[in-house]
Amino acid sequence: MKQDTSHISSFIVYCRPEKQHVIEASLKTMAQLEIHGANDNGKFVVVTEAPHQGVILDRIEQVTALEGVIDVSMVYHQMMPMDELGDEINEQGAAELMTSKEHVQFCESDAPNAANQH
Amino acid sequence: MKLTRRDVIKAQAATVAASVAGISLPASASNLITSSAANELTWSKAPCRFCGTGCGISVATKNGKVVATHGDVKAEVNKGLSCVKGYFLSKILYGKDRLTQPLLRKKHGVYHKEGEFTPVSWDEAFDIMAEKWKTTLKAKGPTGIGMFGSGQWTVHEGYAAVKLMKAGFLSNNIDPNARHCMASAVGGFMRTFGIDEPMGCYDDFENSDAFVLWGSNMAEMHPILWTRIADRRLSHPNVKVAVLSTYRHRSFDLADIPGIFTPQTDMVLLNAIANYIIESGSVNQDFINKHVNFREGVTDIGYGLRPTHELEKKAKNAHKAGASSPIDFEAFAKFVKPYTFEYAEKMSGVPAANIEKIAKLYADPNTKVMSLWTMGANQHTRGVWTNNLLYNIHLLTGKISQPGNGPFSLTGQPSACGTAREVGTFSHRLPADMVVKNPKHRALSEEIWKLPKGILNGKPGAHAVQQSRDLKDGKINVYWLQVNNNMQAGPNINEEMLPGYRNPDNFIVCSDPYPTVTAEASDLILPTAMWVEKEGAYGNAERRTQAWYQLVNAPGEARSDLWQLMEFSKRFTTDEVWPADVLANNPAYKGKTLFEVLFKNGQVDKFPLSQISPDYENFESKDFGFYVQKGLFEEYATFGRGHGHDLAPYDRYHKERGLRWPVVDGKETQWRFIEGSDPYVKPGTGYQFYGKGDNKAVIFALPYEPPAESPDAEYDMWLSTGRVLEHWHTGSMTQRVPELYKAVPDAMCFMHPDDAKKRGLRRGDEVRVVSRRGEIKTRVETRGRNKPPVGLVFVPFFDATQLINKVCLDATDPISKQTDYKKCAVKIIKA
Repeated sequence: MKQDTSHISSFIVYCRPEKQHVIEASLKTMAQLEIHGANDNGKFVVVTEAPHQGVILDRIEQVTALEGVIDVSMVYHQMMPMDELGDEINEQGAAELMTSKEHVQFCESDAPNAANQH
Repeated sequence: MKLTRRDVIKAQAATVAASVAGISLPASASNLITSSAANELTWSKAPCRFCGTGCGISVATKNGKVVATHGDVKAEVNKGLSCVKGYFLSKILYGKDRLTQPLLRKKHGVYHKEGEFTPVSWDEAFDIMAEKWKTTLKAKGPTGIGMFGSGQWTVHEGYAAVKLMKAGFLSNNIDPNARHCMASAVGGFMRTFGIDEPMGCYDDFENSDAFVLWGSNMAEMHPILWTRIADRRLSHPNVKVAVLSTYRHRSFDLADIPGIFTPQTDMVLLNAIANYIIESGSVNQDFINKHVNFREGVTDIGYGLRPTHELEKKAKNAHKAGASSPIDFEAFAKFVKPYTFEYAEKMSGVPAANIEKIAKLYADPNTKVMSLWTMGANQHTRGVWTNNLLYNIHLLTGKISQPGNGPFSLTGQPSACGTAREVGTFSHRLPADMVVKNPKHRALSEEIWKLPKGILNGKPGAHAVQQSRDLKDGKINVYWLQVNNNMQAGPNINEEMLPGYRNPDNFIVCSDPYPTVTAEASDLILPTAMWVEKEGAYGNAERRTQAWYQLVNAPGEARSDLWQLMEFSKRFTTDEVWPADVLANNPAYKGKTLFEVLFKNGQVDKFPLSQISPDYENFESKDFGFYVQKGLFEEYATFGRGHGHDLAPYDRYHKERGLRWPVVDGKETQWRFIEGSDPYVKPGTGYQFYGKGDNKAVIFALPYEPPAESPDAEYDMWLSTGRVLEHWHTGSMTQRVPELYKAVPDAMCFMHPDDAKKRGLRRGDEVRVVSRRGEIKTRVETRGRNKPPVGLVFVPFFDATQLINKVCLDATDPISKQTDYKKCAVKIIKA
């Protein structure tokens, strides 16, 4: 099963604000790592996809070792069979499922937050 | 727009992270969160399985397996974040060598101490156990049996265990591994405040101007709380962080004021700060007049070693280590007067200028300061004293119980507070801070437990280290360990532990999900259901009680510790374990099983199966025929309600991300002892330290005393042990997560490059770490994340192939009986 699964995960990188540009440049050179967002106070949202979690840990260690990085915090992790990842998703259907609480019980905040007000 | 499942999952991962970080994402990405249902996962909440921080985790299950986890956005503790261990949490359930049936040492088809582990049924396992327990009870009475539990027991499990041992077997020989971890913290709280656990809470982090770490490496050991401190520091440039430790580690990356001190001299630094507060006129006179008493403790109290040890024979007050007598403020001021910055620098090695900077954080009335500590202060032969000294500096300045202002004792295990301390699974304790020695406490417990009057045993039992000694000496003959790996975590393994386990007179039972070194040293291994394979509740370091449902089934025949304890109680009748005269005077109890007396007592079995959640499994309840967890919790909660330890009704905890006790009139309490926040404090009083009869906390005059063992000409280095970020304690769970194992596979000996050079060593060389008690082989690391000063080495204890605790000394704090793992003398030799 191991070879056929993919691991998608996200984490937040905290760095000293004065080092933000240098850190950003370094993050961009890392394989299997995408920057999905940032602010001006030294925070980045980073997503990784990798065939095994070891890669994720390597990245975390690599990022932590960068001069100016204070902390790396993990947020999300999911594994999926590789062959399902390419499946197309009907967004409408997915949205309906999401609002129907019988099917999916979410732990995320129900109140609108900074991220999904758009 | 065409979307793939990959896009959806990535967007969800990013969106959750962004909302946690307070960052806005481009609209196209954030819209996708509505599609997260496409994952078709069932999400539920659970507190993390690891440290005492108590992060909330969202756990996704699919087809009976845990498949995804993330920090719970609704959880106040971690607000959606998780550390690397929490991140890989789901994997701890699925290690390849997970135990799925009981294993008994057998030769020629029958139990044999030297036999091979052979699969047996639960019936056969309990048959042999019951036989051994009964033989021992008959021969030696309640002191012949022992149990070693854990701050990782759920509240329900710890409660069932303490009830089975103390109310069932009438034995106080039950102790948790929290003895190795939090006993000095408990001792400190009880001595200073008369009631256990921190007065403040995690909300202090966002309100504080200064953080002082006393021996703690929060960056690795409490990473989520460290994130909150880092966030506060980075977004408020006026905030200061001071980090004090015996070696340099990752927390120093954020330190404005660093300090490396010689082991044990934290006590000198603390007294020097108290002296500065007095001499600079920074004492909050009004506060100490109204709310504080002064006492002087006895000194020369020994090191908790065997009474035959030279150090114990020499110690004058080892027999009354906790004693103290009243003094006044002037006497206290005189007592700390010799602790000048110059003296403190000479003793500790921390430059006087840096000590002064830290002292000023405490002395300045306009700086809100938090002190934070864990094992550095607790695993200390003067651990209780060190905790007392930490409280001194907050009490002198009145900087306590206010948002951002207060001493905060951090916890190592997920329910060291909730289970070990609040339930009272220590050898001297009963629930809600009560003790077996106090006849009133015993009477109240007998009443709540519906037991015959006068039946509880008033003599404290053997504590952790004493249990090991008693096993070796053949005083305890049957021993049951649950949720701990003491053969790796206990001190002085070869001399004081293994002999007791392999003593032919003894029968050792170990309940664990994995074949740990402790399991392998035992005679019977019971396979355990873990974490979300059962319903449970934990209590974290800020008094937050959190419950979770059973989300998946345990593999094979693995059963929760709760089920094991309750099922085992069916094998005993009162006639077999209670004194005949008690039964003669209370004939109603005659012939009943312990299960009937303890668990089918009209209270624990009060709530029917119809009250368990229809959406979740509950193995124990269905097996025993009533809502076990609710019954146990409600009976337990009776002890604390109305006595400063109030818990909410059980069902509410399934709906909340935890509540901080005391929960009064449905409301949790953030800051205790202060008017306006704590419902137990009367209006007009300002503060009431109501753990003490006169509502006053105690400032203790306590000196520096040297450690049990210091480096000398032959054993010329300090050894300190501890954890690393990736592994939790003995690694029995995290070492089975391939990624965590790969990240930090083996323990190593962190040392200063100069020390390495002096011994002709290079990074990666194999060395022997040798003490007077034992040795291990490991490799030298001179460039890693930990950077010891010259004269000290650090070796983590997670690695079962390098049992560093063979090297450690079994010296304990004489008051708390907690082992000092942070200092002994070793030599390092090229292998």
